[in-house]
Amino acid sequence: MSRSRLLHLHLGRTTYVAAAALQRSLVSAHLAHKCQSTSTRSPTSLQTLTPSNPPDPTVITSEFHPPVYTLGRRESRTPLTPERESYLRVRGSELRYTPRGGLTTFHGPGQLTAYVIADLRHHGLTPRCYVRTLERALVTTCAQWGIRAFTTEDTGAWTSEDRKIGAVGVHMRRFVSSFGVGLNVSTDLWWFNRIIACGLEGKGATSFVREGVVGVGVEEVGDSFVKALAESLGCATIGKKSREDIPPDLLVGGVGEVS
Amino acid sequence: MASLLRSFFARPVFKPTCTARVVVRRRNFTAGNYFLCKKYTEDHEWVLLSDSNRNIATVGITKYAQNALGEVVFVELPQANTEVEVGQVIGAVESVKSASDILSPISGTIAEANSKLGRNPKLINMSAEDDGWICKIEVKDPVEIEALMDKKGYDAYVVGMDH
Repeated sequence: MSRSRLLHLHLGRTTYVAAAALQRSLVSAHLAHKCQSTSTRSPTSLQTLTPSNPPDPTVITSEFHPPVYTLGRRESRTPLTPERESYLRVRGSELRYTPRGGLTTFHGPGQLTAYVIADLRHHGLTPRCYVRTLERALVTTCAQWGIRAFTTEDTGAWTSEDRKIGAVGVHMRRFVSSFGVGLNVSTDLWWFNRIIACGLEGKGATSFVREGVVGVGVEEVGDSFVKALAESLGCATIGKKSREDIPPDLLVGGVGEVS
Repeated sequence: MASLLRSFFARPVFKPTCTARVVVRRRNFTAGNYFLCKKYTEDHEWVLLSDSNRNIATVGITKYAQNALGEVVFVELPQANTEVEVGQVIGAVESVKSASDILSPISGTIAEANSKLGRNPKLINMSAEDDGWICKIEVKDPVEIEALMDKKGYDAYVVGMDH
């Protein structure tokens, strides 16, 4: 069922807006292919990245700068109170509404944020199985550095009953996935202490550093995550491209992204 | 003669039990209508022309879809009086950490959203193809419904997806 190549676009340090714009182009390309519509062809610049038809399943890896609190779909329906908004805009952080599942979470320097754009139907995955697949890839990635992470009934990758190292939040349209995971490598956990991350009271965040693994870069953790995911999706090869390989027009987009 | 026939058909052949009477009444309003059966989309939505006199269709997601999503924690419903086109996002179903868009299977105007479902999203898991309906749409062109898959076609489509 699945195709053999996974495209890995490594953006590195980037704004949320740039990553979201690139993600949007890729989602559109996948949806356009499903409609088999000739009128909605992907931009030429995107075709240089993924010339195949249907487009390759793709992972965008980034480390968001400036730091950003993202809100989930449920929260995006009703605007925040001004007090809450100013609470979340602190030390230069951004605040973004997203259509993904889950509740408020944090992304920023020292955290791997990986967005996965794939037609799950090609990989024989239901939305429920897909979330499990992401969790397993997080656990495998942690294991590479000797961190014992596991899954619980609360979604994500945990290192203890109340410490989460990796979070999951996805969006789906016609089985085309977007958004994905956040994995804390050397994230300043202060950002998480200010919020009830993902709505779980009394639970906190952890990172590679807090678990005693220091000196590891977000990019190498990203490579490891992509490799684990490629195996689960049945992709035999990974085509990695860096920011300089990505046409700049794909990184510019409208700011408002709710649905 | 006509009145004789009418009285013949009106007379119950057997004394219906309570259950039987419910079934009969349910079927009455679509009886004789071409669209009396549910139709299905490739995106796992169902459509039933529930009030053919007013061209009102009820829309929901299928039992298969709710099972693939898992436990539903939130449903985003459309606003009444919104005009929608085929394929337009009319809401979302959120299960654990994943929000899936619901696309309109038909064009028309949203007549009503299922407010009970808004208050109790788990209705989708319990009764996706009945009490867990999403919304009612005043259909612009009933032919759009006709073009969708019937139950047999949809069942075959779903079996194909699992292999």
